[in-house]
Amino acid sequence: MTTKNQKIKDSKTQIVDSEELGNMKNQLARAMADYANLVKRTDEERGTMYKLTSISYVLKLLPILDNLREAQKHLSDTGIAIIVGQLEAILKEDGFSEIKPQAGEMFNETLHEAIDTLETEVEKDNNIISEVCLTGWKMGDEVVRFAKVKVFNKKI
Amino acid sequence: MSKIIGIDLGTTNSCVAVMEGGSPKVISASDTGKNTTPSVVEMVKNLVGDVAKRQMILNAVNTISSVKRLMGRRFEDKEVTRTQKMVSYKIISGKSGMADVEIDGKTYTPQEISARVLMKLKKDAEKYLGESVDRAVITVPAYFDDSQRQATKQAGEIAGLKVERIINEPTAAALAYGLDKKNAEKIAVYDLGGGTFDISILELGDGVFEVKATNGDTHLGGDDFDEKIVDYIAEEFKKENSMDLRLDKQALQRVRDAAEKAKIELSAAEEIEINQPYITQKDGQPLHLTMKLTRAKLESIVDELIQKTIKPVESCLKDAGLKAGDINEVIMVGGMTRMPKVVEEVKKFFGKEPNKSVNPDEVVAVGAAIQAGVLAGDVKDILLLDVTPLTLAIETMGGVATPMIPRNTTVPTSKTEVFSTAADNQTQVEIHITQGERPLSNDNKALGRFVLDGIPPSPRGVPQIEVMFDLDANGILTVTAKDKATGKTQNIKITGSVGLTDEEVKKAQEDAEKNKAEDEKKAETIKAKNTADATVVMAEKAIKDAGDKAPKDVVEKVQEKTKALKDILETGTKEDLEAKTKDLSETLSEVGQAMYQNQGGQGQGTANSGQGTEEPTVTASDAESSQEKKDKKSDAKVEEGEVVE
Repeated sequence: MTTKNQKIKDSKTQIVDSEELGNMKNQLARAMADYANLVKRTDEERGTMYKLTSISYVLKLLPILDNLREAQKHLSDTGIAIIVGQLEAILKEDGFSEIKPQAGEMFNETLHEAIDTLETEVEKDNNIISEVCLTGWKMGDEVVRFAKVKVFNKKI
Repeated sequence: MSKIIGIDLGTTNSCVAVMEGGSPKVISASDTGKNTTPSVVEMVKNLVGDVAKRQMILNAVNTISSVKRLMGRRFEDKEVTRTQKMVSYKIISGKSGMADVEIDGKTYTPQEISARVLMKLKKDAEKYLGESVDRAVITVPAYFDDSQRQATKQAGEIAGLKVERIINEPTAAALAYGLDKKNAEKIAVYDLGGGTFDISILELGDGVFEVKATNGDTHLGGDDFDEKIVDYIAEEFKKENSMDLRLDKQALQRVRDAAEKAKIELSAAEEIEINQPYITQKDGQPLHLTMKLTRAKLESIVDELIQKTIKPVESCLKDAGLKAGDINEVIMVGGMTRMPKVVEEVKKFFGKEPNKSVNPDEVVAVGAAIQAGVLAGDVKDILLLDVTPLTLAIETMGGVATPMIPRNTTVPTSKTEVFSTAADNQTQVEIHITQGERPLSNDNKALGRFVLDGIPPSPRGVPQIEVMFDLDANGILTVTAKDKATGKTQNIKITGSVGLTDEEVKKAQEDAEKNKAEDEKKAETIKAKNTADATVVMAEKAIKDAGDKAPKDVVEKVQEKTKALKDILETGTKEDLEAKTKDLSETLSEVGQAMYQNQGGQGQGTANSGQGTEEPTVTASDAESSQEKKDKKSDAKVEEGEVVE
């Protein structure tokens, strides 16, 4: 190979090498940035971990409270009333509050889930709650269970 | 430059993922925390996902679901006709005869509706990443034609995303399993989702996946399985109570929830109980739904649906010109593939274990993210990080393997710890490096050893020897020992500490498990011995330092107990060593006590119950005693070794 060709080859190699070096620096920077972001996110998530664990556990217990309340409707038992009260108190202590829509209220998809509709001819009743099937629950501002409701729907 | 996200834009649910630090990460929805978002849009109030789903029944004409079934299709298309029968919103013939949706007097293309879902996913990704996102890789079914792919790309553009690539869903799934790196040439992707079933046969050649054939059923999915279970439960209840729960929307909702829960639980359990008390009323009396459901019964309920997937698989193979035995790898996609019976049937058909380790709801998005990472230049071979399969340790006093780099640590990595000498005037330390999970060095694999000498003679525990383990991405371990006093270093390089065979790793782990109880007992005995040894040294030093200040009887007692402990140091049991160490410690404290009493002040000696090479620590009561002594204004000379404020 002539000296000139060798020089061209060498300079091309240098360009390629510095390009590769640039790529690798970029990738390294990305990897370090990802790591730093992950550390930040992990620190934040640690704080929410307790909350998520609480919510997960409460969601398992809520059907039991629902069933006890249903039983109470039929039995009107003092003991069951006390138990229901105790459960409600525990939930309140842990920052949970109940979403208790009433029939006649406007349906709100940020708090309610419509499980059935009832046709109505009355315009003003459109999207009004006709019946509450299941109450909802919040932890702070976050809804952990949406209230299940039946809603009037104006016939089109 | 911003990251490129990977999006699985599904018929029923969608999912978004991104590459982070070389690994795909599924991004949860910012409003629900779930990893998938329902592909449901309410166009008038602009609701997307779960919030749109919650009001769907109320607002069916304005709430669009399954719009993917309309993407890029003409109004006369059979699939469009079938979809109209399933949904409440109005499908019309739009521009150039393409299927559009009419809502509240306005016309929307399927692209515009899908764009709302993509916008939500984009927003969730931006919130997660803390930066704007404007590029994406979006997946489509392998059977999508050019018109459908174009429509998907347009949806991305409407959402403000530059669609870097449209890739096939089965290809994405194959990428998620890294099958492009394996020697798998022929791959079958079995995708049983919420509303559709797809089977695809891929062939890998020159690093590129080619779709050889596709087949499926566009109206067969998890929803059908749920309905079968709901029907079974309702029929059983009807037999006993002469009431059809399906006629009561509230009761039906509970039955649906119970059916879904049963389906999930029976993937792990053989039998479950369905309990829904007070589910309805009859003649003013409450009725309860209670029944047992076995996995075998569930499988028989849904068997017809599972068998419905086999014919398309057979047809697909035939179209690809292949037999079941020709397939190298099978991949499971879609939530329904979690059902053991589904996996069993697929395994029976192909004669091999299917790949199912990646979450089947997320696998397509994960693959899209990997493709996105490649396009962004994030993912290259050299950046695929390895882990060290077995713990790397250094041998410390008593033959204990002290871990430095635990197993499954991602490499490259390094760890530094400071150690000291075990004996007085020890001028060299031997660094013995082992690999394995057992607590004693002798039971692990010896990787190498070297000596660092030239340590200035000092009492044991005083020198500071810094040991660093550095493991690079190629599996080369460099161990360096440095005497912090002299600055003298020595090191060793060991190769092959990462690249063990699976059998070697498995054997080491099994050995550790098998010998766990015995190893723990041995390790505890060694710990007791080390503590005993440290207490003996401390006792001998204390007596020497006390000189004639300590009462003779106390000194004799200490010496007697020190000898008793020394005698059993090599051969004593853990219990004996602990008992005699405690005894000596308690007696030793009398030395200091007696000395302080003799000096006319109250005080307590510091009895270190065997902290090995550590200095005795000052307790709160000692600090108080020191203060009292100071307050007494003693003119006595401060003794060497006492704590002085």
